Amino acid sequence: MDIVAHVRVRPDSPPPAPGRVTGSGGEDVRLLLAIAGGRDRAAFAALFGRFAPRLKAWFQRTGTPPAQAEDLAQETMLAVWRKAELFDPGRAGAATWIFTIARNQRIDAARRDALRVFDGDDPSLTPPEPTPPDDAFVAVEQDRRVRAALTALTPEQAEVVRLSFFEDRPHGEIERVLGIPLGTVKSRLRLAMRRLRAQLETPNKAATGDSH
Amino acid sequence: MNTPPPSPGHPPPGHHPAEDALLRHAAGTLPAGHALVVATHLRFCPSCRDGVRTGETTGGAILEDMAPADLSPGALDRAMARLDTAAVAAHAAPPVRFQGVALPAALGALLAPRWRWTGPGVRRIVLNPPGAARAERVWLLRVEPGRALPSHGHTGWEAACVLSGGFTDRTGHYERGDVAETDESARHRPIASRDEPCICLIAWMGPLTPRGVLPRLFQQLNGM
Ligand SMILES: [Zn+2]
Repeated sequence: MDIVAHVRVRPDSPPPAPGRVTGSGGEDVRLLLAIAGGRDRAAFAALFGRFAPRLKAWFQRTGTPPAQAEDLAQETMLAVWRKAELFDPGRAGAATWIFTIARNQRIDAARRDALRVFDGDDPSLTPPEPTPPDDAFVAVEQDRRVRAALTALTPEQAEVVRLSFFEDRPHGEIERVLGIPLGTVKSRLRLAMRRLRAQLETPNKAATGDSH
Repeated sequence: MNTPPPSPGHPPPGHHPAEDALLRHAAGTLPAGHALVVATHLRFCPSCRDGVRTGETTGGAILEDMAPADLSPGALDRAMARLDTAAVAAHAAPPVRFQGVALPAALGALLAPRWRWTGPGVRRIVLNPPGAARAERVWLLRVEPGRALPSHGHTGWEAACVLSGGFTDRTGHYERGDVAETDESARHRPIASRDEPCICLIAWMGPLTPRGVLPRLFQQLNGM
């Protein structure tokens, strides 16, 4: 995968060509804000064109059959429309925010009769305070940094990180795909997370996450 | 990043979920009970909130890099047709305020606790978070000051978050907001601190392996 793409920051950048989303974090933020502020249907159509096919691909990759994967992509995009006011570009990039909605859709789908206990109640989805204007494009910078941080991982670390987003059930899947023991998977993931956190979080906050 | 300040009057937790658990929480692939333990810890811990956000940012980058799948014909039109009728976002259940911290709504039993006798000095409330596997158990546990749980081992993982009071076992001392994670091989005998009852959220997978006659009886009585 291409994780070294440059991310545009200018909110007035020209409409992106169809196809790759990579590099258009600022444009995605603008589209989400247009939906939040003005119920902008054209902005929704543009965002749908860029994300729905990738959402379907991700749901399929996690083991969801194609028809249900497309339904979940539709539901995710409708949730994006409904919840756009909750999007806070000072806290999360557009793709990150859409990912968290898709993740919660998948969790809900996996829970028959699910009460929506985690969705919305999740502190990462609900801004605790208004974002200062200066922070408005912090998330775009964060997107650029996560891509740089991913390239700094060893290929083995990058692979376990990637596979952990493709699992169709907790545990076991990575072991099966890579043929390595669970203990090795866990230690690789821990090292990878520490490196990502060291690059993405302020130094005094990172590297405090070990429990034992 | 902006995060709510830690609860007033309490230092941030000293024991955290392992880094791979934070990443799996961000990816949405932790078992339901373990996810609830981590979600509860996040209410106490700004550092782990940052860690989960790092995981979610990674998920965003992975989503962006997916090769697009073909949608069925008319997919956009069908979505557009639903925009006007799209229901207002379902109102999420409000968080549960417990001793000054907003905890996940799934811990609602804390608001009107109906503890059941489980053993000497030990009471419990069984929770059933949606999506929990058949072999997964999720309990609120209340242990009177200075009381111990029977010594036991695990056939699967265990994860606990302290909500009030504290406990000690051979792996360390745990207080409010702290997480203790245990894997299959570990055997332990947690003892509640002496000053106040210890209330914990605890989730585990698979039957426990008690040692001794009394612990075994304890297990049989309680379906552990
Ligand atoms: Zn923590």
